Amino acid sequence: MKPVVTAVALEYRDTFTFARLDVNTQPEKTVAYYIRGTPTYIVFKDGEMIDQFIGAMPSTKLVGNILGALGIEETE
Amino acid sequence: MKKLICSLLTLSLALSVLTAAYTEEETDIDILRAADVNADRMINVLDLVLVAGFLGETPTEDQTVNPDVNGDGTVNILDLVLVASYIGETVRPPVAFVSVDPAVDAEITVNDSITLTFDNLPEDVTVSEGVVTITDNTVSITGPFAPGTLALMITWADGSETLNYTVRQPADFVSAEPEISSELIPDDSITLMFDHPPEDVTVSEGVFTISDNTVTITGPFTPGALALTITWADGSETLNYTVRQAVALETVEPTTGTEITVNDSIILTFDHPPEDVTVSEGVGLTTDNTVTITGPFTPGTLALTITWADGSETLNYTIRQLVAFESIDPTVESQLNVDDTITLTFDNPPKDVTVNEGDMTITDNTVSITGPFTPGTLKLIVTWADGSLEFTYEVAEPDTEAPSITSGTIGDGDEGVDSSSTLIEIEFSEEVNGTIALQTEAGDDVGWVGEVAGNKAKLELVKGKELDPETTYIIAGKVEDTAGNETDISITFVTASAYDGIPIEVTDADFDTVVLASEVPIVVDFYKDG
Repeated sequence: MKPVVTAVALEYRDTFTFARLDVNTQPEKTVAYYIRGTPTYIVFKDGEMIDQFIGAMPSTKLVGNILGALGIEETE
Repeated sequence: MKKLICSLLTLSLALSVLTAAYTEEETDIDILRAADVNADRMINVLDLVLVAGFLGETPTEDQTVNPDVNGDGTVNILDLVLVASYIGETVRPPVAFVSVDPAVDAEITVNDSITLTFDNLPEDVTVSEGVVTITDNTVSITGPFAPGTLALMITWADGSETLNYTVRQPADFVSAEPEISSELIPDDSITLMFDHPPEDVTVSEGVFTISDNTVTITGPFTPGALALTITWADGSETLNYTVRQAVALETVEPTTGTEITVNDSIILTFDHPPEDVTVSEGVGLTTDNTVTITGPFTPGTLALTITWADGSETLNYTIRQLVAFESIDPTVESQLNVDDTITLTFDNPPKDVTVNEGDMTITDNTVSITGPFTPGTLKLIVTWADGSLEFTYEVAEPDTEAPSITSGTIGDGDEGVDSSSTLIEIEFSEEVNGTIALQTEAGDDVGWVGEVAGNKAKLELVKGKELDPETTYIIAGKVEDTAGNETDISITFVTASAYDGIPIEVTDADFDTVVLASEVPIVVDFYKDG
């Protein structure tokens, strides 16, 4: 999934930031957010988790989910 | 003729008898002289003959003999009787004036005596002024006479004489200055006062001048006891003094015309101990032959007058302020470079400055001493007209090492440099000056602002001049340290790809600060590597 994530992160860098956390090496947050499988995408705004999506998906769906969680209407 | 003579003798005998009594009573010299008709100093028959020869006549004025013996205008029997009455008498000659002392027209004083000498004892002496004393042939006329012009008329039985004199007041000694018995120097003057102008003055020593009532006697007088005798027409006086050596100035240090400071001393040396020393400025102290005059003197031009009993001297000086050290830079005991400059500041422009090391320049109150100084401990001795000081420094070995880059936000050869960078900083091994610029690989200036200050150089982004990703840039410039050692700067770096760093990698440790504190929405991809 990295190329998808990278492409989305680069394209929407002015709208949101994309970060990655390796569940194998960073167990504390993995446990803290009840991560059951990978990839899991959690959307944070103002320090609060507002949504999460689990599983690989095409970039358009990923973008749609994120913008939807942020309440931003997709332009294309 | 015999008959006539016989008749006259008879007549004379008869008349002599008849007039005997008369003759004894009348012995007036004037009558005797009248009776001595032929003026042969004897009254005899020849005189009778002469009278008889003119009997009945009236004598004229031009007659050489005057037979009118009684002066009644006619020669008659009365004249014969008068001659006959003195027959046998001799007629003394008239008393004549011989000489006078003082001589006529001389100057005398009011109480002087005038002595007249006659050839015989004068009779019936009277004078117009003064008192007469007659001794034998001498007549003394004693004053007081009235001062001024004297026309002294002396009249005696046989004549009169007018003697002209100038009568003056006698001069009496009144006082002497300096006082008698006081001390003099050889060239002093002694002034004697008289109540009237003295005349015929002589002095035993010195040279005198007379002005009215004053006689001034000027030396040189011989050192030792002086018995000065002054004699004048009316008296003499001996004045005793002690003549000492005059004290003369021999040397002055510093010499007149030089420059001294306000607190300097001026030393005068005399050939003998001076007396009554006064000075116009400063304080004078006399010790033996030396007078030391100590300030403070007023800055500027000084005309210092020293007066002592025997003279005075005016010495000219220029008085300047004392110059005091105020500060030195760099501070003493600090470290210097061999070519550093040491600056001393004084409160006034110093004079006669010397230093034992370095090259010196003076500007107003400042003395700058520039190296090269010898590495090691420097004992710098600065001497000026008013003082001397020693300063110690440690002089470092010369700096021949060029400045080097010790660290920086970007190093030469770096790749993957964040193209969003807005500031590039480089640190050097020492303080430097110089220029720095951000260039393209082709050498064109990118347009960032470069600054070199202290031991850092920095390049700051100018908006619109952002770095491009995956591009080669060169940081170029030149810096030099304070010793002038130069270093060229050439740092080549390549910016990262546009994808580098996206997405960002987070850990448990920075999760809260990166994710929860983010001000923009953030999506975290929990993934499993591999």
